[in-house]
Amino acid sequence: MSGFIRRCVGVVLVLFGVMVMIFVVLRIIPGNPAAVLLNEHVNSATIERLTASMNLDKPLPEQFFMYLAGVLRGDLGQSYYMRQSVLSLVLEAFPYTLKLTILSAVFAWVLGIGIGVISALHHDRLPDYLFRGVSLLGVSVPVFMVALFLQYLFYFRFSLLPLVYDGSFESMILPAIALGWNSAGSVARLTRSSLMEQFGQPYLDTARAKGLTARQAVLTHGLKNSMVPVITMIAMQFSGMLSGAVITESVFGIAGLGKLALTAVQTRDMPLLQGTVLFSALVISLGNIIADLINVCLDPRLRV
Amino acid sequence: MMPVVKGISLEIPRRGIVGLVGESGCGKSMTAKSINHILPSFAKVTGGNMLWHEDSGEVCDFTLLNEKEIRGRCGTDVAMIFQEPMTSLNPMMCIGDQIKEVLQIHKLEKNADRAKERVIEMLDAVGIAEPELRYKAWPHELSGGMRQRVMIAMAMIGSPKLLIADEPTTALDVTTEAQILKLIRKMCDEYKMSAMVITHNMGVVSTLCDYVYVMYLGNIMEQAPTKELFKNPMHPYTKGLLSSIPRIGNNPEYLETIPGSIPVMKKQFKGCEFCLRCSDDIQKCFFEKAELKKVGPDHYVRCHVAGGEEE
Repeated sequence: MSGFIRRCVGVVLVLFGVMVMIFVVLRIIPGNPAAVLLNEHVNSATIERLTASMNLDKPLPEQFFMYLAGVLRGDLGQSYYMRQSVLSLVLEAFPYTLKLTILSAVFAWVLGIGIGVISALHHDRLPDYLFRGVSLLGVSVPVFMVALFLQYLFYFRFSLLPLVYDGSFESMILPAIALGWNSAGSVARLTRSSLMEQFGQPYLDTARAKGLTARQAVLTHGLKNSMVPVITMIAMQFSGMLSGAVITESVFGIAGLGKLALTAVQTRDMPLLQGTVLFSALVISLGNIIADLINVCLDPRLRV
Repeated sequence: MMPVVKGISLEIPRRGIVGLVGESGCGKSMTAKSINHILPSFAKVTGGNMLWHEDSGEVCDFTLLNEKEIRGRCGTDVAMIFQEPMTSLNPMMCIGDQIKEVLQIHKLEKNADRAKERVIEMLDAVGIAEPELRYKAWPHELSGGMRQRVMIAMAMIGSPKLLIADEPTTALDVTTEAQILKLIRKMCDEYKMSAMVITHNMGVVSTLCDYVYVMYLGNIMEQAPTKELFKNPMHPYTKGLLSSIPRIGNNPEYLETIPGSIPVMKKQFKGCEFCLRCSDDIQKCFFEKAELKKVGPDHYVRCHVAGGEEE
């Protein structure tokens, strides 16, 4: 339990660090956001007036503490460009990203663990070589390539699925596959090697001596023992997908967190970018804690 | 393919406890694992028979059984306990469920509550205190001796007719060893069970076994009832093993040892496998393998020198 509290304190520290970093980085970039917002052809007095009203003329530490005070009150500021509260924009976008991430995570894990198990059971035989090739392809092909290829195949060639996201479940399938593709590859590879490490463990002999066939022993006793590293990796990937969804969301036109962050970068919308980054960091930290909790439930040796 | 165990013939009588003794690497465990088909994937049984005499009088050859048939017998006819009780238990499953699994696999108890009760009774029978509480214990929470007791409970719950114990006390300290040996003996008597005990420890043999097979490099070198073997060892290897046991009252500066170590057999060797380390080295031993010959009632030895000249 004290470990859990320590982790929560850790999360708070991480979030603070993220806030400092993104704040500093955004201020290092040259150029005045007020000028970008107003376009080039405005007189300098107007720009100065806007700069002052956005508090951009104040010293950096003061700006930061104003921002920090806002965050602690649950106020992430106003978006410069969209003229709305950042928090409401983020909360509006997040469900789309979450839906996409969950769908592609399920795709990646089911496919990855399944392929990994089949590979391990048939190691160094044809199915293994085949699946190892496929998973290598999964690890090495970039997301946008997969996305474009899927669009070509399933929309232009066979017109089975919609080209972009339109709110329906079917239109979420292609983005989910595109986003999950890489993870499926690495989950498959890790599952295979982790499961094969269990082969030859004496407890599998015990299971067979009890009357389980070799395959049953591996699938019931071995698989559970091999899952701890896989679950840790899955959690990291889940976080990765939440942030890596930028490309997928752009290609398929999903109004999620990644798209929001991209818009924020393009329009130099500092509060919006800070908000999305901070929110992503929070989600990632929580995801890691959840993975640790799952592992503790799975492996009694981790409960100290 | 390199033969690891060749031409050995063991007989385990009903309710008898038979010992299989030898140094590390002589093929004891391979022999045991071939019985219930849990050999590692690189090893294979290429010949011979393993005849199982049913109570009904029928005879079944275990070498001919397929995976499904042999698994049906594992746990109910043949049970096994292993050397390393830590790694032999699944670290992620509580011990009670691991024992209960035997009942589930063989559908010995359909009622889940009754199955749990039977597991608790068995934990009690193998001498685990507070069995109801221990049911939910994880393997890492138990001591080595307790884990071996759990392994014994797991082996016994299917009421097997034969127990194979592969170095059951090697990983344990001496006092625990004595308790575990006593427990195995008790279980064999209570359940009218036969046992095959694999060990490199002559002390284990003398306390547990009725009959002993001495193995060296995949061959039986000598076999005799335990008392007879200890009183009257014939084979130079058996003599060497027995003389290397320290004895109370006799304080030599060094313990006796058998010179050399087990040679690595790269190819088939025509002579006696032990000739390189034997004290009586005569030329014949290098070229010709001795046959197992009778030297007393139930006492056989494979040696050119021991027990007089062959005819």
